[in-house]
Amino acid sequence: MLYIYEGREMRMKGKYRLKVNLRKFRLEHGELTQEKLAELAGVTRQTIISIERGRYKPSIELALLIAKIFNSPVEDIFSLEEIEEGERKNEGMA
Amino acid sequence: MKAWPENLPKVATIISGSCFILFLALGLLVDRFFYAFAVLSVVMPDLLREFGWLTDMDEFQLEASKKASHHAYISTAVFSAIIIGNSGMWMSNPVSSGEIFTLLFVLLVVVKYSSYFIQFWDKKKASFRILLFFAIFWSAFVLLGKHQYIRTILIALLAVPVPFFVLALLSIRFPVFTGIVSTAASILTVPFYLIYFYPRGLKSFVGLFGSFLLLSLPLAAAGISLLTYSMKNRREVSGGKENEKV
Repeated sequence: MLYIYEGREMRMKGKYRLKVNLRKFRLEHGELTQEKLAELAGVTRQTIISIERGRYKPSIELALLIAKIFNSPVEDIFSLEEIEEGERKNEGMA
Repeated sequence: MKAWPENLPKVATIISGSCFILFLALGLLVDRFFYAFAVLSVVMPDLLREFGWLTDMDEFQLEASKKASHHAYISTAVFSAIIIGNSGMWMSNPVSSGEIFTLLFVLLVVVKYSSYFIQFWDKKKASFRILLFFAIFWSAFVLLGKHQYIRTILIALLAVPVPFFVLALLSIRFPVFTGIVSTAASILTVPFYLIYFYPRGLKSFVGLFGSFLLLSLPLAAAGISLLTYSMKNRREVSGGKENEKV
Protein backbone atom coordinates (compact mmCIF):
# COMPACT_ATOMS: atom_id res chain seq x y z
CA MET A 1 0.00 0.00 0.00
CA LEU A 2 1.26 3.50 -0.77
CA TYR A 3 0.46 6.50 1.32
CA ILE A 4 0.13 9.66 -0.76
CA TYR A 5 0.11 12.99 0.98
CA GLU A 6 -2.62 15.36 -0.10
CA GLY A 7 -2.23 18.44 2.01
CA ARG A 8 -2.25 17.20 5.60
CA GLU A 9 -4.45 14.25 4.81
CA MET A 10 -2.92 10.81 4.42
CA ARG A 11 -4.80 8.72 1.88
CA MET A 12 -4.32 5.08 1.03
CA LYS A 13 -4.53 4.66 -2.73
CA GLY A 14 -4.03 0.91 -2.88
CA LYS A 15 -1.86 1.11 -6.04
CA TYR A 16 1.09 -0.69 -4.53
CA ARG A 17 1.71 -3.78 -2.49
CA LEU A 18 4.49 -4.83 -0.17
CA LYS A 19 7.04 -7.13 -1.75
CA VAL A 20 8.99 -9.23 0.73
CA ASN A 21 12.36 -10.70 -0.25
CA LEU A 22 13.08 -12.12 3.18
CA ARG A 23 13.23 -15.78 2.16
CA LYS A 24 15.66 -14.98 -0.67
CA PHE A 25 17.84 -12.98 1.73
CA ARG A 26 17.80 -15.73 4.32
CA LEU A 27 18.93 -18.35 1.85
CA GLU A 28 21.60 -16.07 0.38
CA HIS A 29 23.02 -15.36 3.83
CA GLY A 30 24.43 -18.77 4.57
CA GLU A 31 21.08 -20.60 4.63
CA LEU A 32 20.00 -18.78 7.77
CA THR A 33 17.11 -20.76 9.22
CA GLN A 34 13.78 -19.17 10.15
CA GLU A 35 14.42 -20.24 13.72
CA LYS A 36 17.83 -18.58 13.87
CA LEU A 37 16.52 -15.38 12.29
CA ALA A 38 13.61 -15.36 14.75
CA GLU A 39 16.08 -15.73 17.61
CA LEU A 40 18.25 -12.88 16.30
CA ALA A 41 15.23 -10.61 15.79
CA GLY A 42 13.68 -11.56 19.14
CA VAL A 43 10.43 -12.81 17.64
CA THR A 44 8.80 -16.22 17.17
CA ARG A 45 9.47 -18.44 14.16
CA GLN A 46 5.78 -18.16 13.28
CA THR A 47 6.20 -14.38 12.93
CA ILE A 48 9.05 -14.88 10.43
CA ILE A 49 6.95 -17.45 8.52
CA SER A 50 4.01 -15.03 8.42
CA ILE A 51 6.19 -12.16 7.16
CA GLU A 52 7.66 -14.37 4.43
CA ARG A 53 4.22 -15.53 3.32
CA GLY A 54 2.89 -11.97 3.31
CA ARG A 55 0.37 -12.69 6.05
CA TYR A 56 1.85 -10.11 8.36
CA LYS A 57 3.38 -6.72 7.66
CA PRO A 58 6.13 -6.08 10.22
CA SER A 59 6.47 -2.84 12.14
CA ILE A 60 9.09 -0.33 11.01
CA GLU A 61 11.26 -1.32 13.99
CA LEU A 62 11.17 -5.01 13.11
CA ALA A 63 11.76 -4.34 9.40
CA LEU A 64 14.78 -2.19 10.26
CA LEU A 65 16.07 -4.78 12.70
CA ILE A 66 15.83 -7.54 10.09
CA ALA A 67 17.66 -5.31 7.60
CA LYS A 68 20.33 -4.68 10.21
CA ILE A 69 20.76 -8.44 10.78
CA PHE A 70 21.43 -8.88 7.06
CA ASN A 71 23.49 -5.67 6.96
CA SER A 72 21.45 -4.51 3.97
CA PRO A 73 19.21 -1.53 3.21
CA VAL A 74 15.64 -2.17 4.36
CA GLU A 75 14.22 -1.49 0.87
CA ASP A 76 16.19 -4.46 -0.51
CA ILE A 77 14.20 -6.76 1.75
CA PHE A 78 10.89 -4.89 1.90
CA SER A 79 9.89 -2.88 -1.14
CA LEU A 80 6.79 -1.53 -2.81
CA GLU A 81 5.64 -3.15 -6.01
CA GLU A 82 3.21 -1.45 -8.35
CA ILE A 83 0.03 -3.36 -9.05
CA GLU A 84 -0.91 -3.39 -12.74
CA GLU A 85 -4.39 -2.13 -13.70
CA GLY A 86 -5.58 -5.59 -14.83
CA GLU A 87 -4.15 -7.22 -11.74
CA ARG A 88 -5.96 -4.70 -9.53
CA LYS A 89 -9.26 -5.57 -11.18
CA ASN A 90 -8.56 -9.27 -10.63
CA GLU A 91 -7.68 -8.63 -6.99
CA GLY A 92 -10.85 -6.65 -6.57
CA MET A 93 -12.89 -9.51 -8.00
CA ALA A 94 -11.13 -12.18 -5.93
CA MET B 1 17.75 -20.43 30.05
CA LYS B 2 16.03 -22.42 27.31
CA ALA B 3 13.27 -20.52 25.52
CA TRP B 4 9.68 -21.71 26.09
CA PRO B 5 8.61 -23.90 23.10
CA GLU B 6 6.59 -21.97 20.52
CA ASN B 7 4.18 -24.82 19.92
CA LEU B 8 2.99 -24.80 23.52
CA PRO B 9 0.66 -22.19 25.00
CA LYS B 10 2.34 -19.39 26.93
CA VAL B 11 3.03 -19.97 30.63
CA ALA B 12 0.60 -17.12 31.42
CA THR B 13 -2.10 -18.80 29.27
CA ILE B 14 -1.64 -22.16 31.01
CA ILE B 15 -1.83 -20.54 34.47
CA SER B 16 -4.83 -18.37 33.56
CA GLY B 17 -6.61 -21.29 31.84
CA SER B 18 -6.14 -23.55 34.87
CA CYS B 19 -7.36 -20.78 37.20
CA PHE B 20 -10.35 -20.16 34.90
CA ILE B 21 -11.45 -23.82 35.04
CA LEU B 22 -10.85 -24.00 38.80
CA PHE B 23 -12.79 -20.82 39.63
CA LEU B 24 -15.57 -21.64 37.19
CA ALA B 25 -16.00 -25.02 38.89
CA LEU B 26 -15.92 -23.36 42.31
CA GLY B 27 -18.46 -20.80 41.08
CA LEU B 28 -20.81 -23.56 39.92
CA LEU B 29 -20.32 -25.82 42.95
CA VAL B 30 -19.56 -23.52 45.89
CA ASP B 31 -20.36 -19.85 45.46
CA ARG B 32 -20.89 -17.52 42.49
CA PHE B 33 -18.44 -15.16 44.16
CA PHE B 34 -15.73 -17.26 42.46
CA TYR B 35 -16.93 -16.12 39.01
CA ALA B 36 -15.18 -12.80 39.64
CA PHE B 37 -11.90 -14.70 39.96
CA ALA B 38 -12.71 -16.70 36.80
CA VAL B 39 -13.07 -13.42 34.86
CA LEU B 40 -9.89 -12.03 36.37
CA SER B 41 -7.90 -15.16 35.60
CA VAL B 42 -8.74 -14.92 31.88
CA VAL B 43 -8.34 -11.18 31.39
CA MET B 44 -5.31 -10.77 33.68
CA PRO B 45 -2.57 -11.81 31.17
CA ASP B 46 -4.01 -9.45 28.52
CA LEU B 47 -4.25 -6.62 31.06
CA LEU B 48 -0.65 -7.16 32.14
CA ARG B 49 0.44 -7.15 28.49
CA GLU B 50 -1.54 -3.96 27.85
CA PHE B 51 0.32 -2.20 30.66
CA GLY B 52 3.63 -3.61 29.46
CA TRP B 53 4.24 -5.61 32.64
CA LEU B 54 4.16 -8.93 30.82
CA THR B 55 6.36 -9.14 27.72
CA ASP B 56 5.95 -12.75 26.61
CA MET B 57 4.58 -11.95 23.13
CA ASP B 58 6.16 -10.42 20.05
CA GLU B 59 4.42 -7.80 17.91
CA PHE B 60 2.67 -10.32 15.63
CA GLN B 61 1.34 -12.30 18.60
CA LEU B 62 0.17 -9.08 20.29
CA GLU B 63 -1.63 -7.94 17.14
CA ALA B 64 -3.32 -11.35 16.76
CA SER B 65 -4.28 -11.32 20.44
CA LYS B 66 -5.77 -7.80 20.19
CA LYS B 67 -7.77 -8.69 17.07
CA ALA B 68 -8.99 -11.89 18.75
CA SER B 69 -10.07 -9.91 21.83
CA HIS B 70 -11.95 -7.53 19.54
CA HIS B 71 -13.77 -10.46 17.88
CA ALA B 72 -14.58 -11.93 21.31
CA TYR B 73 -15.88 -8.58 22.53
CA ILE B 74 -18.18 -8.10 19.50
CA SER B 75 -19.58 -11.64 19.58
CA THR B 76 -20.18 -11.52 23.34
CA ALA B 77 -21.92 -8.15 23.00
CA VAL B 78 -24.19 -9.44 20.20
CA PHE B 79 -24.91 -12.66 22.08
CA SER B 80 -25.71 -10.73 25.29
CA ALA B 81 -28.14 -8.55 23.32
CA ILE B 82 -29.82 -11.68 21.90
CA ILE B 83 -30.13 -13.25 25.38
CA ILE B 84 -31.54 -10.08 26.97
CA GLY B 85 -33.78 -9.35 23.98
CA ASN B 86 -35.25 -12.84 24.04
CA SER B 87 -35.45 -13.17 27.81
CA GLY B 88 -39.15 -14.08 27.42
CA MET B 89 -38.05 -17.32 25.79
CA TRP B 90 -36.42 -18.60 28.97
CA MET B 91 -38.17 -16.59 31.71
CA SER B 92 -40.75 -19.37 32.08
CA ASN B 93 -37.90 -21.76 32.85
CA PRO B 94 -35.82 -19.69 35.26
CA VAL B 95 -32.14 -19.63 34.39
CA SER B 96 -29.71 -18.62 37.08
CA SER B 97 -27.45 -15.65 36.48
CA GLY B 98 -24.53 -18.01 37.07
CA GLU B 99 -25.55 -20.14 34.09
CA ILE B 100 -25.94 -17.08 31.86
CA PHE B 101 -22.55 -15.85 33.03
CA THR B 102 -20.98 -19.23 32.23
CA LEU B 103 -22.46 -19.17 28.72
CA LEU B 104 -21.27 -15.66 27.97
CA PHE B 105 -17.85 -16.31 29.37
CA VAL B 106 -17.42 -19.60 27.53
CA LEU B 107 -18.39 -17.77 24.32
CA LEU B 108 -15.79 -15.09 25.02
CA VAL B 109 -13.06 -17.65 25.67
CA VAL B 110 -13.94 -19.88 22.66
CA VAL B 111 -14.06 -16.93 20.22
CA LYS B 112 -10.93 -15.33 21.64
CA TYR B 113 -8.74 -18.44 21.37
CA SER B 114 -10.19 -19.74 18.09
CA SER B 115 -9.66 -16.33 16.48
CA TYR B 116 -6.13 -16.08 17.93
CA PHE B 117 -5.16 -19.54 16.61
CA ILE B 118 -6.53 -18.80 13.13
CA GLN B 119 -4.67 -15.51 12.91
CA PHE B 120 -1.40 -16.63 14.42
CA TRP B 121 -1.01 -20.10 12.95
CA ASP B 122 -1.41 -21.13 9.37
CA LYS B 123 -5.21 -21.49 8.84
CA LYS B 124 -4.92 -25.23 8.11
CA LYS B 125 -2.80 -25.86 11.19
CA ALA B 126 -5.12 -23.72 13.33
CA SER B 127 -8.20 -25.64 12.13
CA PHE B 128 -6.51 -28.95 12.91
CA ARG B 129 -5.71 -27.74 16.43
CA ILE B 130 -9.21 -26.35 17.05
CA LEU B 131 -10.81 -29.63 15.93
CA LEU B 132 -8.34 -31.69 17.95
CA PHE B 133 -8.83 -29.53 21.06
CA PHE B 134 -12.62 -29.97 20.93
CA ALA B 135 -12.25 -33.70 20.21
CA ILE B 136 -10.22 -34.01 23.43
CA PHE B 137 -12.60 -31.70 25.30
CA TRP B 138 -15.69 -33.73 24.28
CA SER B 139 -13.90 -37.02 25.00
CA ALA B 140 -13.11 -35.80 28.53
CA PHE B 141 -16.70 -34.59 28.90
CA VAL B 142 -18.04 -38.04 27.94
CA LEU B 143 -15.50 -40.06 29.94
CA LEU B 144 -15.87 -37.95 33.10
CA GLY B 145 -19.69 -37.98 32.85
CA LYS B 146 -21.72 -40.20 35.11
CA HIS B 147 -22.47 -42.94 32.58
CA GLN B 148 -23.35 -46.33 34.01
CA TYR B 149 -22.94 -48.50 30.92
CA ILE B 150 -19.98 -48.86 28.60
CA ARG B 151 -22.39 -48.99 25.66
CA THR B 152 -23.70 -45.50 26.55
CA ILE B 153 -20.13 -44.17 26.74
CA LEU B 154 -19.27 -45.70 23.36
CA ILE B 155 -22.37 -44.22 21.73
CA ALA B 156 -21.62 -40.82 23.28
CA LEU B 157 -18.01 -41.03 22.06
CA LEU B 158 -19.13 -41.96 18.56
CA ALA B 159 -21.68 -39.12 18.47
CA VAL B 160 -19.35 -36.15 19.00
CA PRO B 161 -15.65 -36.72 19.90
CA VAL B 162 -14.94 -39.31 17.18
CA PRO B 163 -16.29 -37.10 14.33
CA PHE B 164 -14.13 -34.25 15.69
CA PHE B 165 -11.06 -36.54 15.69
CA VAL B 166 -11.88 -37.76 12.16
CA LEU B 167 -12.36 -34.19 10.87
CA ALA B 168 -9.07 -33.12 12.51
CA LEU B 169 -7.20 -35.93 10.75
CA LEU B 170 -8.96 -35.33 7.42
CA SER B 171 -8.15 -31.60 7.55
CA ILE B 172 -4.44 -32.40 7.02
CA ARG B 173 -4.93 -34.19 3.68
CA PHE B 174 -8.32 -32.94 2.47
CA PRO B 175 -8.81 -29.32 3.61
CA VAL B 176 -11.56 -28.50 1.07
CA PHE B 177 -13.63 -31.59 1.88
CA THR B 178 -13.18 -31.12 5.64
CA GLY B 179 -13.99 -27.42 5.33
CA ILE B 180 -17.25 -28.17 3.51
CA VAL B 181 -18.23 -30.96 5.93
CA SER B 182 -17.40 -28.89 9.05
CA THR B 183 -19.24 -25.81 7.81
CA ALA B 184 -22.27 -27.87 6.74
CA ALA B 185 -22.30 -29.73 10.07
CA SER B 186 -22.14 -26.46 12.01
CA ILE B 187 -25.09 -25.07 10.02
CA LEU B 188 -27.10 -28.29 10.36
CA THR B 189 -26.66 -28.49 14.14
CA VAL B 190 -28.51 -25.19 14.66
CA PRO B 191 -31.94 -26.19 13.23
CA PHE B 192 -31.42 -29.65 14.72
CA TYR B 193 -31.24 -28.14 18.20
CA LEU B 194 -33.92 -25.52 17.64
CA ILE B 195 -36.45 -27.71 15.84
CA TYR B 196 -35.84 -31.11 17.40
CA PHE B 197 -34.46 -30.76 20.92
CA TYR B 198 -35.75 -27.45 22.28
CA PRO B 199 -39.52 -27.86 21.65
CA ARG B 200 -39.38 -31.37 23.12
CA GLY B 201 -37.85 -30.02 26.30
CA LEU B 202 -34.86 -32.32 25.89
CA LYS B 203 -32.46 -29.48 26.29
CA SER B 204 -32.60 -26.52 28.58
CA PHE B 205 -31.83 -23.05 27.29
CA VAL B 206 -28.36 -23.26 28.80
CA GLY B 207 -27.75 -26.75 27.42
CA LEU B 208 -28.94 -25.63 23.99
CA PHE B 209 -26.70 -22.59 23.72
CA GLY B 210 -23.87 -24.34 25.53
CA SER B 211 -23.92 -27.09 22.88
CA PHE B 212 -24.06 -24.44 20.17
CA LEU B 213 -20.97 -22.74 21.61
CA LEU B 214 -18.96 -25.89 22.09
CA LEU B 215 -20.14 -27.82 19.02
CA SER B 216 -21.39 -25.58 16.20
CA LEU B 217 -19.06 -22.65 16.79
CA PRO B 218 -15.75 -24.59 16.64
CA LEU B 219 -16.99 -26.51 13.59
CA ALA B 220 -17.87 -23.23 11.87
CA ALA B 221 -14.54 -21.62 12.83
CA ALA B 222 -12.51 -24.60 11.58
CA GLY B 223 -14.66 -25.11 8.47
CA ILE B 224 -14.62 -21.50 7.32
CA SER B 225 -10.91 -21.10 7.93
CA LEU B 226 -10.17 -24.33 6.01
CA LEU B 227 -12.24 -23.09 3.08
CA THR B 228 -10.57 -19.67 3.03
CA TYR B 229 -7.17 -21.41 3.27
CA SER B 230 -8.03 -23.63 0.28
CA MET B 231 -9.37 -20.73 -1.80
CA LYS B 232 -6.29 -18.61 -1.11
CA ASN B 233 -3.99 -21.53 -1.85
CA ARG B 234 -5.78 -22.19 -5.13
CA ARG B 235 -5.51 -18.51 -6.14
CA GLU B 236 -1.78 -18.50 -5.35
CA VAL B 237 -1.19 -21.71 -7.31
CA SER B 238 -3.12 -20.44 -10.38
CA GLY B 239 -1.33 -17.06 -10.09
CA GLY B 240 2.00 -18.87 -10.01
CA LYS B 241 1.10 -20.92 -13.11
CA GLU B 242 0.13 -17.76 -15.02
CA ASN B 243 3.43 -16.14 -14.08
CA GLU B 244 5.30 -19.22 -15.29
CA LYS B 245 3.53 -18.95 -18.69
CA VAL B 246 4.63 -15.30 -18.99
